[in-house]
Amino acid sequence: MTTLLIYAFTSIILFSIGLFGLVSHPNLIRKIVSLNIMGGGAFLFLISLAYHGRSPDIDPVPQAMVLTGIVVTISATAFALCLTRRIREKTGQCLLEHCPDKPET
Amino acid sequence: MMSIYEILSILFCLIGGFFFLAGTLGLIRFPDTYCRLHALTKADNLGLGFIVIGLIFVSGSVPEVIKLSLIWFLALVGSSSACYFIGNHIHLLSKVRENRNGPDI
Amino acid sequence: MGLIFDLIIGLSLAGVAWRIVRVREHFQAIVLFITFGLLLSLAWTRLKSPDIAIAEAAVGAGLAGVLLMDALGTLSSTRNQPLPGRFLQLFIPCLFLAGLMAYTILFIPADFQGLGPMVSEALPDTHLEYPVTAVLLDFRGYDTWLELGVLLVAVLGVLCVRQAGTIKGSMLPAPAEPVGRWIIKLLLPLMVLIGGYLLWLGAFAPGGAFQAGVVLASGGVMLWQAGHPSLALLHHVWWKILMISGFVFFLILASSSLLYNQQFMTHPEAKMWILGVEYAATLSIAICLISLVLASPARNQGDQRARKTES
Repeated sequence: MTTLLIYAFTSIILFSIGLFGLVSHPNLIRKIVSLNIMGGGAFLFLISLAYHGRSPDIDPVPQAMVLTGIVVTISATAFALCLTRRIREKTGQCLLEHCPDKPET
Repeated sequence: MMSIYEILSILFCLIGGFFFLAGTLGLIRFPDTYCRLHALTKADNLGLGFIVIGLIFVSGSVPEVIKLSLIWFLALVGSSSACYFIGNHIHLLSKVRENRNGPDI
Repeated sequence: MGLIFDLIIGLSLAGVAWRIVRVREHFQAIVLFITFGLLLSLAWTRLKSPDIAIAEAAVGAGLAGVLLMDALGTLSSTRNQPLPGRFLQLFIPCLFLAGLMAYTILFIPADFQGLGPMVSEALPDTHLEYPVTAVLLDFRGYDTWLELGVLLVAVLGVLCVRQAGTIKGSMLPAPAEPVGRWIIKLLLPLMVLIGGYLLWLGAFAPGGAFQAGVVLASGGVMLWQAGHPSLALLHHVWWKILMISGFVFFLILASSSLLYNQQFMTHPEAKMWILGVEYAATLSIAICLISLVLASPARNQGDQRARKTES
């Protein structure tokens, strides 16, 4: 039970830190990294619930979900980075700020 | 009562831990990147080697021993080539900087 | 003793995550993110999920690190950006949210069982011995099938954004230094061997399509990073066929049960069916991940010139 609590609380801290990074950084690469931290927190939460600490074998359904989730996360990350490159090509910077007619730097 | 193998295993793991500690201390305290790489690769590989030897003493079967030695071998290959790549990059970078204003890495 | 180890892992995870968010340099943040992935895979081993640990170490620390470093190389123009202001305005709501979520954890019932008993009850029907593989490829087959679809869509999206028909043309030049070639010679056969071993292991022990695919993909990325021409030799039609093979094979086998007037995605020969799908999915995952890493950088002349002036 204590192991579950340690990892569940850690996962919540990770999720919140990731969320904070996501909203506080204007730079898109940092936003993508923060999103990955949030994903890590969510996965850790699922697995910490699957691990009761009493029964010897752990629940396989969340494990399978997290395995799928990791591969989906990496594909989303790759696509997001590709879009960031495109934004950089178009605007000359990779920031997500409202700047209507900023000239190319 | 512990068997002689368990005592040897603990002894070797402690020696390995000492080398890891020394490597980490070097990583933190050494002045420049080359020295840090030196501390990290040499001391940590030695530490990992001692820990692997320690674990071999308590491992149950031959495949386990082979897998443990394979881990050490792969870590050696990985860390030495990573060390080469980082060192090479730093070397090239410092050449570029020397042309401008002198090395300060 | 284990409790202290768990506490150390939890605290260092939180600390590293905080550093990633607050550190000034992007490069440092990405290196810390790779560390974060490795720490997370330690946590997975502590939580008795070796499957996820393998996938996390290869994907979260390996492939994601390669992708982010590569993106940073072509994208970052301004180092040392000042950290954004508005610290408290954003930090306090996040803290509040964390508090709310932490409060809900206290209400998790202590005798909570999960789906473990149901899975072990139905496991004999699949003729597999390892529950995670059974869940992935049988009980929740839809998840895996659509996940292959997501991978495929991601590759297609990257190709669309780049406005390119193939992933080829982004091959790095072969390096002059011997160490890169040496490490390829040494490690690549081992990686292929380990990938195959994990795939074979999946039926009865930790291992399976995802882990094998991920390990093979990291081998392919290494091959590409070292500038070896063998990946470029594969004709792009074959490349595409391999990419869709997992998704299509899954679909064909799943709908073949309709011929016997049975439900979609049920199967008479469970073990053969599952192993076939697993092998196709492995290939597909490996090829899709390699193409995601390969296709991402648009290495045209302008980029390289920009990087030269930067360094």
